[in-house]
Formats: sequence, C-alpha cells, structure tokens
Amino acid sequence: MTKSVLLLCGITVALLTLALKTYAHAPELHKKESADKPQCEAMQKMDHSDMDKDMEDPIMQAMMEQCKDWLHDEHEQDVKEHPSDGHDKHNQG
Amino acid sequence: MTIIKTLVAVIIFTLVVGLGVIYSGIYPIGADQRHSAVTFWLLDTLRKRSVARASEDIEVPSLGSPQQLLSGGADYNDMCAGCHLKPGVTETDMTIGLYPTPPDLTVPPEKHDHDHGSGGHDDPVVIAKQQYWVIKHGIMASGMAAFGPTHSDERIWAMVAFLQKLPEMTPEQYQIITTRR
Repeated sequence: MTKSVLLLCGITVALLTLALKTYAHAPELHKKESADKPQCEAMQKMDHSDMDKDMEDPIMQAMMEQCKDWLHDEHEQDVKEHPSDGHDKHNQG
Repeated sequence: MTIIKTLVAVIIFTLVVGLGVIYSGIYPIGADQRHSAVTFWLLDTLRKRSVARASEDIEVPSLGSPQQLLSGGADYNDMCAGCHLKPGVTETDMTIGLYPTPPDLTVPPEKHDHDHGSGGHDDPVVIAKQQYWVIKHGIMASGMAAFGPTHSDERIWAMVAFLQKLPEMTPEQYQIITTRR
C-alpha cells in the first residue's frame, strides 16, 4: 500500500515537472490557435515586372516558400489547360 | 556652512514632499490620464538610456533570410500585432487604450514618434540591437512583455528580421508571410 502511494507521488511529481518545462508559446500551440491559410491567390495580382529584383527580395522569397504547394498546383493546372504553351515559349526564347 | 544647511534643508523638503505625494495617492495612475511633461521626460529618458546601454554590446547575427521572415512573422502576428499594428490597420483597442501608446512598427523607425537614443534612427544595427533587447527583456510598467523566458534567441532574432521588412509589406504580403503553417 505504502509502495503504491510512493509510486503515485513519484509519477505525479514527474508529470508536474514535465508540464512546467513545456514552453507556453511553443510554435505548435500557436498553430492550433490560428486556422487561417495563406491567401496565395493574392500573389497573382502583385507586380512581378522586375523578376530579377523579385528573386533577390526576401519578402518575395518568403511568400514563394509559404505558397510553394499552391504555386505547384497552379503550374500543374496551367500545364493541363495549355499543354503547348510552355514548349512554344521555350522555343521562342 | 549656510549653503550646506540650505542644501540639506532643500533635499529633506523635496523627499518629504515627494513621499507625501506618493503616499497620499493623489497622483493619477490611470492609463487614460497623461503624465506631466516632467514625469514623461524622466520616464522616457530613463527607458531610452537604459535600453541603449544594456543593448550596446549585443552581436547582431545575419538577418533577412526568408525562413527568419516566416518564423518571425508568425510570432509577430500572434503576439505583437495587437499593440504594434500590421499593414492596413491604423489602430486597435490596445493602441487606443495603452499609455504610452505602443510604437507603430509598420512605419519606418525614422517616422516613429520617439527616437532610439543617439544614432538610433540612422543606424539599423543599433535599432536591431535595441529591438532584440526589448523583445527579450520587455520594459517595466509599459505593457511590453519579456519574451526571453518563453522564446529562444533564434526566434527573437527572427522577429527582429521581420521587423526590418515590415514597413515595406503590403497587407496581402503580410497575410501570406505571417500565417503559421
């Protein structure tokens, strides 16, 4: 009986210690709080006239990283809808 | 001898009056009141000098990678935007209700309604050091919390990197970059 009580106390103390060590602001906790998704469609309306500048701009690079899945899907869709466009462009270039 | 006696009398009188004001409770402490010009200058100068001194030896790492913007942006949106605003938002309940009003970090440092101590506005390295220190340690009795106990240095520097780019961002760019994934 005494052993069981001691074991229970030990487990409780261990769990409490573990709980206290958990950071209140761990990124995973925030993730659960925010259900928003990046609105990557807005990238289509942005000015991309200076492509060289875009590629060096950390803001643009961060957006491309954030939206890489969406950009990939968009590209796939484009290829499906206009299968010959890409080859024509390459041939012209 | 008379000068010393007068000086001692003035010091004692000032201490007694000062303690009298403090203990009487007549000083308005509500955030919907404004400090007198003298009190504001005292507190403002104390804050600026303290932050400048405490942050002067901090080494600034390389800032501005896309990964830092994504990490710092998500943290900024969750913990800071309510008080320090985001692109397209000019005021919130917190910016209206807090006193002193938190600086609007969506505008460049030179347009803030406060300076950063000597050389602060002209030197991005000084600003980065001070921003890192303030995020990590907070500021007493100002509403600015210390994030050092709950956030790694890496995450705090990522927030500083994000702050450097924030004034350039449109609302659309901000939304994409700050969404936590």
